[in-house]
Amino acid sequence: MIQETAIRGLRVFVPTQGMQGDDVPIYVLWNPISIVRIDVLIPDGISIKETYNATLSKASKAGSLLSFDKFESNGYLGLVLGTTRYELAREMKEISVIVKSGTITKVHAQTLCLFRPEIEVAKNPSNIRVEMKDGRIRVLDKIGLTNTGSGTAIIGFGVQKGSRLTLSDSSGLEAFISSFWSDIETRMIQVKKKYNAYEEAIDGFLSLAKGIFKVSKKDRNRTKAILDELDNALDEDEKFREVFVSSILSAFFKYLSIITPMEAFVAFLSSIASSRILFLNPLQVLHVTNEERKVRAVLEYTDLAGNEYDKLKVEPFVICANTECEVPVYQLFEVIPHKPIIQEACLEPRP
Amino acid sequence: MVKKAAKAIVKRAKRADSIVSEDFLIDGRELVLECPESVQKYSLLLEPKARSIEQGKTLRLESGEVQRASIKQLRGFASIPNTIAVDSGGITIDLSDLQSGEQYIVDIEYKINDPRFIDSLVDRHKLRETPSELMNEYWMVAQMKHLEALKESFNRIDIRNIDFGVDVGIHQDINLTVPSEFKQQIQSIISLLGKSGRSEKFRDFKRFQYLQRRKYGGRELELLAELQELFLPLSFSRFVEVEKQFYLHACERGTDFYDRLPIPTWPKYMRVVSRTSLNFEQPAADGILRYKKKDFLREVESKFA
Repeated sequence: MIQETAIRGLRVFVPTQGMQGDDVPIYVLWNPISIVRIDVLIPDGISIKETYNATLSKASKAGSLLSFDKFESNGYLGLVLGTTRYELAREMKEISVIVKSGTITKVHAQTLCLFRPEIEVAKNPSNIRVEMKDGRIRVLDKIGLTNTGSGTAIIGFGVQKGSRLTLSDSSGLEAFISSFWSDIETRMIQVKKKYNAYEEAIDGFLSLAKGIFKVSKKDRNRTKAILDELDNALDEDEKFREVFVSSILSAFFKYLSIITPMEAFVAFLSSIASSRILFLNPLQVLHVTNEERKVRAVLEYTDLAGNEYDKLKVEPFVICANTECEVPVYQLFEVIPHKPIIQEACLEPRP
Repeated sequence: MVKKAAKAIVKRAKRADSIVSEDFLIDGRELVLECPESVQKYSLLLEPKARSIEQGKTLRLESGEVQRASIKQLRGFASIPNTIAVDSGGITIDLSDLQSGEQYIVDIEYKINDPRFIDSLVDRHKLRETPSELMNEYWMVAQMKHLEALKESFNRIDIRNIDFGVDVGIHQDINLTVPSEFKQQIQSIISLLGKSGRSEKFRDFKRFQYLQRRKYGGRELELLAELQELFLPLSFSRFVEVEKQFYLHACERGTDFYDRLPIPTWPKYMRVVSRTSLNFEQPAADGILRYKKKDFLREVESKFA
């Protein structure tokens, strides 16, 4: 008699990476002719949020080991693991799925890298000088930011009350931005009528677009919920996706004559920092004169999973220019690349 | 706990069964959900009971908003005209022309109006972004939520073409690859076109003249148009591939929710839509979306060669 060495049709999925705060799916499939027992080793700091085709209360638990041997329909077990924000920006968790059928045991051990960004203020000058020469703005001694973690940080720059400068929209693009968004608002009235199930998501999108979005704790959860809802809506309904995207494009092309294609390109490039740092308001400006003004800056950030971070500590600085000018937010910063001493396996592609 | 959508499907199937079983033997039930079209196709394999076939007899199935319905003889798949009528409340089957001992397939199509319908049957997860610039693979997973509840009511279920949109970040790649000299040239043209005094205009003009003699002088709009082409759905699809139980459906310009600056002609993300299907044999599926970053960078670089 030939002894079987494999469990027929066995397929195990455990991802290798995930964002901290996001859910992580796991599944096991096998040929329903086999009777199996599945042990799942769940490390500390990870919870089970959902089980599919099995009941969590019927699984036996010994420490961090969960054992499933009763399935509603034999051949499938689905799990969704919940993660949170961890102290380390790259947290390694060992997850093992052990499938036993008769005398055969198959072990699927996987290291899951849970990542998030980590922003540090690497340089905080007390004086920032701005030089306007030949129509070009040069900022000397910028604030240096480093992303020592993984994943994208979305940074909001603000100016505290008591500062002698305020932030405003750039005069160059102001007409385009306001015309564009007011047109989008009008177009979205029709979209909402047709797709009233998505009304809340669309309203949320419009409120973000009006610049109401902030990275503070108060707004973050609401923002994430809106974006997730809209993201789901765009996935769920192809027709809605078409209407939504074409409304945005139509409004854009309607007002394209206000800005030249070249202005659009420069604005696009300017709003991008490197090392996975995105500014929420890169083209807002500080109106700087040749008189020294003290700025108490506020820097807050979040990530694509909507995690909460402490405010970044920025010492007040004095800013002045050789002549009156508008300095875009992005020009106040430089991104200093992070060079890890040890290259972490989690960041390397698979061979 | 079986959620609303699964409950609604099972309830509808049971209600139909109790009505249909008075005049037919039910030999099979199948359900196909076409996700992108939001359509639910319900198929019944029926055999009329001999006593039910009589001239003028009809069967009424109050089943809500039906888009279309048809009846075919299983043998030869021949359609039987004027046997099934659709109205706003459901369908009516005329039993007059049916034959006992024959099997018939009744297909009924419903529009799915609840936008959360698929979500309540399928759990979707994806890697939102990769941990480093060196890695360009995004996993995607679909898991069926209520396998047993659906198996009890149907012989077969197909949840077809479930969409997964992954936003592939490309902005850093463009920013790093576009030569700084080209950026300066564009900036000089903007300054020249902008509002400024006579002396500033002259200064801008001198700078513009100087830069126009450099490498990309005079080709700015042409190069911008060539770069734009990379974001066309067909062009960008050359730079992604989808593996395992998923397939590539389309590439679209991404919607960057965090960006207040509306420049959709220069997307920061491309939304890559992949699809998969689930059924009783495959209640869960995973796929890999690979962004071929090196090829994309090479293509951008070639524009400025």
